[in-house]
Amino acid sequence: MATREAGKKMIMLKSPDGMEFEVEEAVAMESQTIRKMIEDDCADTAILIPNINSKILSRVIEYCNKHVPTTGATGAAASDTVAPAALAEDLKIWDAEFIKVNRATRFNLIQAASYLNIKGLLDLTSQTTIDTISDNSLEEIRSFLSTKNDYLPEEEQTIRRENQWAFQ
Amino acid sequence: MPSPAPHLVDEILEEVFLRLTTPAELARASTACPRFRRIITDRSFLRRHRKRHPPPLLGLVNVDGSFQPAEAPHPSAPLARALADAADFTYSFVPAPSNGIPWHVRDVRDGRVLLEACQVLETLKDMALCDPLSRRYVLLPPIPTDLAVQEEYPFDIVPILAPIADDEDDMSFKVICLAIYGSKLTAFVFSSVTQQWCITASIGWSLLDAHHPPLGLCMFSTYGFCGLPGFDNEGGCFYLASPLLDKLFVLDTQKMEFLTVKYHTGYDILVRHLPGRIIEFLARYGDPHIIQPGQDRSMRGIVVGREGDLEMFSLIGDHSPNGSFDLYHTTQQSNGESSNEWRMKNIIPLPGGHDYFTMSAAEGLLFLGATTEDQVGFDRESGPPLSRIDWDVDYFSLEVKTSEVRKVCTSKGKFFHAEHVHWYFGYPPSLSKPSV
Repeated sequence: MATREAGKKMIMLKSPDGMEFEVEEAVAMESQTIRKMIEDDCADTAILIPNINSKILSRVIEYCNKHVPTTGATGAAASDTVAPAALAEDLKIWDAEFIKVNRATRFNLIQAASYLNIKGLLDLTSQTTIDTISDNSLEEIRSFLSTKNDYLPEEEQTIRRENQWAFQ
Repeated sequence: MPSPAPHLVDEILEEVFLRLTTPAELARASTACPRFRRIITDRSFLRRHRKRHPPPLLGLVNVDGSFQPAEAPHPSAPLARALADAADFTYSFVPAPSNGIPWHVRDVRDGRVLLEACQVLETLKDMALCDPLSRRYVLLPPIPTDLAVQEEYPFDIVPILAPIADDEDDMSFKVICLAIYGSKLTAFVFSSVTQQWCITASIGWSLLDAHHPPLGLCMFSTYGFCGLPGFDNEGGCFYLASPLLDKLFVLDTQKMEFLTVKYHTGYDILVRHLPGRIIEFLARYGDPHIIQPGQDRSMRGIVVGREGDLEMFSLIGDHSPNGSFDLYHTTQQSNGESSNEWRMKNIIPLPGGHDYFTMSAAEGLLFLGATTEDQVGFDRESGPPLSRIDWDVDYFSLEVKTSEVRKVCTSKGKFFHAEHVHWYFGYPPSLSKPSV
């Protein structure tokens, strides 16, 4: 959980299972959905985040904490010593570690990123999913995205014919 | 609460599928199950996907309307064949024009083809917009005479299709007619929303430092524009150039206004003085007796990069057997005033064994035509072999962002003085929705 620093405005986020997370406003505003609530002055007290349980919400906050642009005295000092390219490389490694989660968690993260409108997290989670399926067979795509082939045989044949060019 | 094996709601699958980059990946995923197919072939999903991953180049459309698909090893070859098999590029589904003249293709954009039937120098034109894939069409009313004929008759009227703006419905369309008058250039616009023609912008030749329509413009529709018209892919701007003018002019199709951009500044002056430039050639038009087919067709191309900078390509080459060709890529920041200068970006060598000419630009690509060297030059005094209809022309594209040169296809050129082809970008049938 974020620690309170002098002069930094804090926001309380609540998950539907009753957990409360106190985060810096700047961190919470990585979410465009929350940013809008704050800008519209709908965030005086705690913000209830529906549909995202505490386990997922804490991961999302962890992501935002890492990705919030560094500002202020400590931030300036950090960027003086570390080149932006190195910072970006560091973030990439961090992201790769962050997304090493099981499929269910990743899908929940996509859902959360989509609802909270956090572009970076949505890109990361969706892209990881796509990287896993794009070269795989249809069978694997189906099993990975937990769906089954409920085409009628003749229907499937027509669809396959229509899309023949995509299998060349 | 999320369960351990979550059911993926449609919105999440959409987010995932949006990141599939190629039409083939998208089409393969759509064959996995009916639900995926429903999500992927949904019009609003396809619109979002198109915004993220612009549709690939599938081939070219000749003036007579025929489609030439991209050929292997071009990555679009299978898609292009699927399009060619499914679409009707004979336009038999469009009623024949009332004046008995066959339809000619005047522009192609966003899967739509703009057809026109008119006699030379006719002011009122029969026009139709059609979608060869869905076989749907719209007949356009002619520009009302009282609009088109003001103090003077237009020399010519050149129709173009405006790109679909981001906030527009992808079934709506705008057709722009550039009318060339003795003293000015005027843009008329037909909108599918209002179903009417109106005058939207006008610019006097005096603003282009010319006191009469420049020669190239008059020849615009008959011989192909002497310069390179091109649309950029983001700003919706249409660029026209003439080698006889010091300024480019730009039609912003979203704001519907004309702008001018200074043309011969900075590095461009240097490029102009390199041997092999078309300006040099025009200045010595009477001199060379033996010319290569490409020599009097080359003009510079202009496209706009993603950051809004103007990008210009000048073809510098030696139109002689075994001559080599390079594209000089210069760039100009477009957010400032006329003080901006062209700066050199890079020099791109073109594959050998060809005699090149530049054609047009669209969607971040610059197009080049080329004839192989065995189709030798001809004797100018005996006249160009206009009767010859079997020029083999190889078409190349250059991606502005990466400088990658790629062969698209080979086609028969009919008149080498006017390789007037249009480029078709789009999706194969299973990922397309009617665009008209």
